[in-house]
Order: sequence, then C-alpha cells, then structure tokens
Amino acid sequence: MATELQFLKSVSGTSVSSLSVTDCFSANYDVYAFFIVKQDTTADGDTHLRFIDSGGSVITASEYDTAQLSVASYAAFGEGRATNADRIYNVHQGQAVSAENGGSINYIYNPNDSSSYTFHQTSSAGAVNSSGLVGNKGIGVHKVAEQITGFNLFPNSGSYDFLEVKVYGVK
Amino acid sequence: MQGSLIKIDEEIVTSAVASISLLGIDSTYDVYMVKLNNFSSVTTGATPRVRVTKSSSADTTANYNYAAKQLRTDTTFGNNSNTNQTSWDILNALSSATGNIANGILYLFNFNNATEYSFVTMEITQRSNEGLHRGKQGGAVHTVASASDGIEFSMSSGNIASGTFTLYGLKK
Repeated sequence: MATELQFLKSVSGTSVSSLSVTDCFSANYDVYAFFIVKQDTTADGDTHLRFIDSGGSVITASEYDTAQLSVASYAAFGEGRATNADRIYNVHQGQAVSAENGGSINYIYNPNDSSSYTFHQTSSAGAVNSSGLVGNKGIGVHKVAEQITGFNLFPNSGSYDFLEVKVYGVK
Repeated sequence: MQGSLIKIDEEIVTSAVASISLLGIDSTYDVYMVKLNNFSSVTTGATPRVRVTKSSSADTTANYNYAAKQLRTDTTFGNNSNTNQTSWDILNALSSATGNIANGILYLFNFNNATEYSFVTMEITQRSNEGLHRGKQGGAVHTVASASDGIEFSMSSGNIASGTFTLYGLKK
C-alpha cells in the first residue's frame, strides 16, 4: 500500500551559523513536515525560521506573524507573539548542553503556491539547564503571497556545532 | 515515520458545500490523522463545526467537549473550552477573504472502539476572519462509547468555501 508521508531530503551542517534547506518544495505537495532530529549549539538560544524565496534568497523582511506557547515542567508557562516580524520565532529549543537539545516537528502549508501565504506550525520538546522539560507550541505565517522554495534555520545566539533536518511531503 | 501514513479518504472543496465527511475509519488502524489545508468559509465570521460520524451520519447529540489554548499573534492567548456541545468548536472563525484560511493536523484516537469515547488532538494554524493569525492547540472528546466511522466538517452558518480534507491511517 502506498504511503503518503514521503521522504524528500535530509540536510545537515557542521560548525555553521545557519542552515538553509533549499529546493525542497514543489507542486507535488501542499503540506510538508520537517523534523529537527539533531541539534548541538554553541550557546543557549532557540532556533528561528525564515523562508527562502524563488530567487534563492532568505526572506529577512518584516513579513511574518508568529506566536509561541512555552510549556515547562519547572516554571510557569509563557507566551510570546509578534506581528510584522523578520522571522518565525522559536521553532526548536536550543541549549549549549548537547543532551538538552530535543526534537521538533514542523509543518509548512502552501509554500509552493504563489497565490497563497505560507503557514507554519511547530511542536518541540527539550530541556533547560538541568531544570527540566521545556516544550514549545508555535504558529506562524509568511504573509506575502509568493512562491517559497526552502527555509533557513538559525540560532538566537551562537552557532550550530551540528544541525540535521529531515523533510517529508504529506501527499 | 516514512511508510507509516496511508490515505483513507479525501474531499477537495472547490465550490461551496454545506459539509464534507471523511469516512472509512475501521479496525484497520488504531490511530488516524486528518490534514486540513486551505479551509475557508463562504460566510464571514462563521465558525467550523466538527462532528464524529456514526454509520456515515454526523452525530448531533450534545456530547462534545473540548479544551484548547488559543495562540494569538496580536494579544494575550486565550483558553477555549466547553462541554456537552453539539459539535467541536476547535477552529477560529473563517471567511472567504484571500489568505483567511485554516490549516492543521488532527489525530483521532479510539474512533473505531465501540466501548471507548472518541478523542481528538488538534494543532491549527490559521488566519481568522479578521485577518489575524491565530492557532489552537488542544484536545476534544465525544463522550459516547460507540464506534465512530468518520469525521464531518461544516460551518456554524453558510457553507464551506474551499479546502482539502484528507484522512490517513497510521500503519500499525
């Protein structure tokens, strides 16, 4: 029986300030899932996301709306939001202690459709400074109708010792 | 996860319809997933209604309960919850204006089990009818211990304008 979760590509980087996953969206799918399966950062700081346009440029303009719910086992829950931001915030928890970096699943909707905004959602789990679990539930949108061909991940501070992403199409 | 997602049913709405049903839930799989893409409403401000189906017909009895955190990009998050409703109100209001669409993933648990309630988890990312970006994260239950064979989507008023609704089984 045919499966409808189809592996597209795996991309990794070592000692990089950011990681671009390029040419991963096409007319074959409307919805994509990507997993951050391994992340090691040089400093504490969450990973943010930007999209890549059809010209191959990372979109740094203030064209994103984003909101995040942070859930923690050791502290009160938190929330964050921004409109007209230059990124989608906190798609993955990041800690300098390697063992504290967990995993995340991210969905991207309509990236290839030049007449639609591109939507995003994330769910992640990690740990913080030996205190306990922290998770993130986030949403975002790139509110310009244009074709998106890929995405760029970068840490809030420091760089990546290692980052690995796997991308799937949801048929 | 590769190789684990099997398409069961799909409805693609390109002209207005009152409702759509995704059917085919049975004992083949324990857990099912629904993908929502480009869900919009003909009537501005209408809210999606979600119901389980029994023998292919929507159950409209007042046994729907849900709780969710509403994520908002414009202001403080909200808590949405209700009990003993005639449907699950698990998305924000929609419209047919460009960009005001809903996307999301639902997981369905115990639907085929005749001695268990039907449960749903949801993760929604959408532009509301006001053009604000919002989302919902939470869960829902239909408190009737009988088998559900599908899930129905309709609107609180008017019709569904567009959307691709897909039901998958998660391979055992």
